[in-house]
Amino acid sequence: MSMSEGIERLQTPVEDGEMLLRLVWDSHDLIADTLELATSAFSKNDLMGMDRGLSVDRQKLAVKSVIISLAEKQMAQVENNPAVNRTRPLLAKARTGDICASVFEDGSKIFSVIATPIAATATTPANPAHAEILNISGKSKKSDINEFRAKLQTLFSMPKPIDEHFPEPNTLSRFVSWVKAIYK
Amino acid sequence: MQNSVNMSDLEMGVLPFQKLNILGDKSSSVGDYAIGNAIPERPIRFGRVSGMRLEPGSGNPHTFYRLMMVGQSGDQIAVIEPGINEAVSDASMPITFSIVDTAFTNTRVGQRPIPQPMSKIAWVPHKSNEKLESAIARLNDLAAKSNGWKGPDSVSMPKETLRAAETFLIRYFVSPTMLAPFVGLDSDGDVTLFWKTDQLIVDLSISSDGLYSFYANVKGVTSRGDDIPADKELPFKVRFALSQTTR
Repeated sequence: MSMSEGIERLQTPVEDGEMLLRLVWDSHDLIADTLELATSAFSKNDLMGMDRGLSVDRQKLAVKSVIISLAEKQMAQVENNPAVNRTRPLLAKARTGDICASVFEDGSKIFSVIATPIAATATTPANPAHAEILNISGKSKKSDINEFRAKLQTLFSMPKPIDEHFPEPNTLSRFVSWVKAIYK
Repeated sequence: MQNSVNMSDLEMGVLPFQKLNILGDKSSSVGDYAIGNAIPERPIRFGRVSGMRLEPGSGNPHTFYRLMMVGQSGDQIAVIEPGINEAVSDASMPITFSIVDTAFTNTRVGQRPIPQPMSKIAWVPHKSNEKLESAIARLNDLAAKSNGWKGPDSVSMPKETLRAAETFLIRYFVSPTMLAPFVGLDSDGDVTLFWKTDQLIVDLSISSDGLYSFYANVKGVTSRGDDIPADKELPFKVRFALSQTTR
């Protein structure tokens, strides 16, 4: 089994207990008073339906160097845009189970979280931790999207520097779990 | 009501700007107001009136002024128009305004407005609009972002969106007690306004078509709306909550 085949097989639901990390690198997405994540940090286009989801990383598989690499790539894409307020990369955290428990007033579920590992490219490393928060509600009116974002905003923690999410150097056990996840 | 009022009478001082324009049509500018309020038997026509926008001169390009009266039914806004000095070329020249009508906010359709004597009109100093100015400044900051600001698919804020967002904010801050929103930009160029306290959460998006959508949860009671013109206010219950709340 090649690495890419292994990666493609992993588009499965993420377990409720897993913590998810959302990368933030533009300070315009932070509420100045509280330093919380603002709803503008959640792209509306990513919440329209099942075709495209909101990118997050599964903490248990996340590798600090990969996250930093992706952050640097994203920031490089906008480096010629003078109005971008870059901040050092931050990560906001949410629990999968809390996200999947979000419901409409009629009790219907809004989100699902699926693993969507990304294979390495010529410029970016593989990211087996990548996952997406999908809108599975079938609803996509503008005010629905406003509701989705408002709900997500309350579920994600205040963003913190990447180092605070990786207090210890990447250990062998993290590498082992990473490999196990790919070849499961 | 057609009283001529000199700004100096209102302790306003001299406007340090070169030109004044009322937003939109003079006959229907910003804010809820009652036309013909002296005839309470008739249904009150609500129009849109607001303050005024000072066009860019040598100073701050976005400053808003309004006359306010405080009555028993809440804040009441006097509709003002520039008088003979409509185009002021000399920044030191006092500006004369005419009060062409009295506007009433927090007044429901059909409710009799309470006419106020002119003596109760007081100038709302520039500082009382700090929240509005701050929001507009932030808006302009975000409008400076060019295409690709958040990656390849992201787009800048269209001018139409900027105008619509300004209109909404001017309307929103007619009452200076309103809770200031977080002002953000979405990757699709829409403007996001976001409020969050222990009591409420509101997410609102303003698009280039001049319309907005919102979702609000106030103490567990939700409301929402789609395709609302930017010059229309949020529902009363949401506005009321946003006026009673501190972050």
